[in-house]
Amino acid sequence: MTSDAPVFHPGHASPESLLRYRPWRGSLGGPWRGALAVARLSLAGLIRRKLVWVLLAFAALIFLSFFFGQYLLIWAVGQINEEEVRVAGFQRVNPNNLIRDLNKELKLNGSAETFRNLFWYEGSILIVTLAFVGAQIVGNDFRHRSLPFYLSKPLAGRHYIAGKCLAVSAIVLAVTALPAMILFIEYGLLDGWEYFWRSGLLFFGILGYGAVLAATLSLLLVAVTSTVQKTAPLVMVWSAIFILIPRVAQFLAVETASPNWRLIDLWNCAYVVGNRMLGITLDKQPSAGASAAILIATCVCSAVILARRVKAVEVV
Amino acid sequence: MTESAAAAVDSRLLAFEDASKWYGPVIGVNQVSLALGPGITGLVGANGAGKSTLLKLATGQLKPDLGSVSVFGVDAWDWRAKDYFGYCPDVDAFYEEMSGAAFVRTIARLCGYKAGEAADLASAALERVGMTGRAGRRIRGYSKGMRQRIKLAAALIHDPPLVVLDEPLSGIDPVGRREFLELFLALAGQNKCLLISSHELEALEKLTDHVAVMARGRMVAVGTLATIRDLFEDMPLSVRIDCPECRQLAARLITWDEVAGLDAGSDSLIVRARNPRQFFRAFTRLVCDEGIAVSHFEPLDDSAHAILGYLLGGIGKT
Amino acid sequence: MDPALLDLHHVSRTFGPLTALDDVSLNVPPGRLGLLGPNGAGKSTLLKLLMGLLPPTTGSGTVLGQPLGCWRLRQMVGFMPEADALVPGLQGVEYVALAGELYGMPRSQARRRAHEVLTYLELEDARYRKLEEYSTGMKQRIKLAQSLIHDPPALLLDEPTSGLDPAGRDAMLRLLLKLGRDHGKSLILCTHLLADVEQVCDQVVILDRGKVCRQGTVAELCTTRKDRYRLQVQGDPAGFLVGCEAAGVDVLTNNGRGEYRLTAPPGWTPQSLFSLADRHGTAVRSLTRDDETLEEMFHRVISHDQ
Repeated sequence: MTSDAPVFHPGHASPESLLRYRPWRGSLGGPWRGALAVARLSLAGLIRRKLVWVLLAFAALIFLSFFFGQYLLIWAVGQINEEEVRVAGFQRVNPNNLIRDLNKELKLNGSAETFRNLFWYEGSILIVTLAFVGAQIVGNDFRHRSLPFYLSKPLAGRHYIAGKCLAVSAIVLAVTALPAMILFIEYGLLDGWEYFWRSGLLFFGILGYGAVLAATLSLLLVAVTSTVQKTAPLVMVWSAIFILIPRVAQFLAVETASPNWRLIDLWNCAYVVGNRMLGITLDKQPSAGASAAILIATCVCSAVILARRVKAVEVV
Repeated sequence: MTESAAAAVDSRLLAFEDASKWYGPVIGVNQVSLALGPGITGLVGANGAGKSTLLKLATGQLKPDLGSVSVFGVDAWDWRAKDYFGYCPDVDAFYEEMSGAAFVRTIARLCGYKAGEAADLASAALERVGMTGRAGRRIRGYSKGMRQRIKLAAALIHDPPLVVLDEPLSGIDPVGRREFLELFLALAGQNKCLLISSHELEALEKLTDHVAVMARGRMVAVGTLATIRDLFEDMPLSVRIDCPECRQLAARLITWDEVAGLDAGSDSLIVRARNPRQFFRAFTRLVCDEGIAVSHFEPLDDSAHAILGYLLGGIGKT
Repeated sequence: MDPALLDLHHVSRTFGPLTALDDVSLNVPPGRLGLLGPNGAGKSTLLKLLMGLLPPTTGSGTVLGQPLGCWRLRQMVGFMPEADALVPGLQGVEYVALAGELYGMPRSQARRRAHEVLTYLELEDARYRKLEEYSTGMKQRIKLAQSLIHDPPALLLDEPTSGLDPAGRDAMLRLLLKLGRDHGKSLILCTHLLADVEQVCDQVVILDRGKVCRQGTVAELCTTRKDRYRLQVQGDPAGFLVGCEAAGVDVLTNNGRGEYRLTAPPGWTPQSLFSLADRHGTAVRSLTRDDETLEEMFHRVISHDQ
């Protein structure tokens, strides 16, 4: 069902009849459809920016180095009876050394550590990406007073926030959990099907770590940008949270020999919780439970700030 | 200064002489000459016609690229001219965290008054615009009308002889509008010169008869509405006549030389009169002689609205 | 029978100690409604209630059959905000399509209809331009477009002509009148410009200090004044004025340009004024009844209540 306007024959249609108001009949969806539109619009806005592509290219670079490193490892294992192999066409290395390096240093062996490391490296790119695009996603709406436009529609504040968080989460997952998943499947295909049975839980660990990052970062970013709306101050606040505080936490933890100081470092909290989900227990780190509590508290605080900010918007 | 020289300056409180201003390739004001004496002048024109540029030239915020603008014989661009005018801009430019009273007081201080004097002047100005009692709150929470009042108070703080107002009536409620109109009339009564740009012709019509019409950067017409109307005296004028049996009347009127055409309805007809003055005379005579029961007799394109429509294009009542 | 545009029963809304709306009861049939009131009369609060952004503190009511406080109100009513409320970076057509999606239209339909609505509002040429490049008049029209995209039964317009020049304002009012009269949209027009209401609306609600102080059609609310006329003459006004005095015509205002408001003696017809003018060597340019205008009525009602 689209329109019950009469059919016009192009030959007879005068400009006025084409300019006539035409009714539209169709069923309207609920506010969550609007939330999806908000998310899609935010992502579409990001894709138009070149900077985002540069950062995504960096993220892809890291992923590819893992991807081919893993391939290299499997291949080297197959070449173990050879004295020396040619790597990249010219360099001659002993396959045993190569295997040791790939295994020990990068841990490209399809174990939990592989994915943990991927998350860590991709995470650093992700943080930079978010610092630069945050203002675009949310800050602009506050700065240019676009919110009355959204809130005069069926969607309420929570739908708007959900849409924005969804957009940020999509970026987070695209840079972290998605490549990790591909890596997981790649290793299984190269190593043999029993890998999937053996390490099946890792799959859920990857999903969990991705979800933790997505939830925390999206809420935090949306909350921060609702108050700090321009890119430059956002980058400053963001680097304070993810560079300055971790340094301070590190220093305090070492000086006082109490790893609990690291709880003030959100990135580390996510790291600890993520490790726990992947089945790795870390020493000299706070407990996963405490870290999770900090993350949840952060999410709740962000949500409260957001709710207040959105509620303060005068639609009329 | 001799008396005649004083009188000459008096009639030229604000004078534009072939002033032009452009922004890069865009021309804002194109060769405008205008001389204003005491009283209210309405500045009308479409969006983008150059009204705001003209007002900025008058208040020395812009320097004309060609020609000159003077206030009381002083070049408007000169800082000394600033004493002579108050300016109420169309856009809001406040320290939003300040209260309205503090803002006006700051403006007074910036005008060079001492602290005590500034406080007195500020409260007097706030009183004048009807903001006493409401000026203690932060500007951030003000409605559009309150913001207009604060801007106006800031413009009037040093009691200038020339007041330049850019869209002072926008966003103000009907009660406030009436107060503003009264205030403007009172200011004009003190022999001040007010130059008011506004889109609200109905409001301007209540204030003044003297308008300056701008279009595409040029001054199209300056003068009283009557003189501007006379420019169109020869154009056919549509007149609505309501009376019973108006088709018989139509049949008579169509034989007149002055009637270019007419549309007849059942109890109302619209006559297009070629020479309005003669038509009105003849029609008045006809009504008296024949005893036609005219209940409504109104030229449709004779109002300020319609006259400006001729000058600016695109206007017409629904 | 269509549900009433507004049907409110004893609706009040307080914010802490402040009473914004005080026992408002209204029943307004579908049509073109002008919502008037001075600042602080509770208009914005009423708009928020009508859009379901706020629940009433006490009382209940419906808008086009939907209960107050429900998000569906915002689907039934297209809202044209007073503030710019644009999303910078978007093209005109993307913005309107986005509004359609936010109202719950399927994406493909929203994108198709966006073009149609923009064509109707004569923004066809500006469709692919960025919103930042729009002029004031275009901004107002695109704001109307985004409220019309899903073809709602009612439109809520907050100061739709603010910032428009006379030509733009006329065009906007014509458009609104056409939407209301020819396409059956109910309009709620909220404005400080009483002339806009007079041109577009058939019904008026006047709010003052949180209460409804008048409701009805413009004709009902404005008193007709028998024997009062607005008269404009051409020729020598001095002689005419002398004649008026002699004939017992009471000249109330005289703007010095031959335009008068006057009270004719009882029993006079408009024709008598024609003869009066004729006898004194002047001709009538305009003769209309001097009934109370909406603006006069508004000021009478507001000042009377204070």
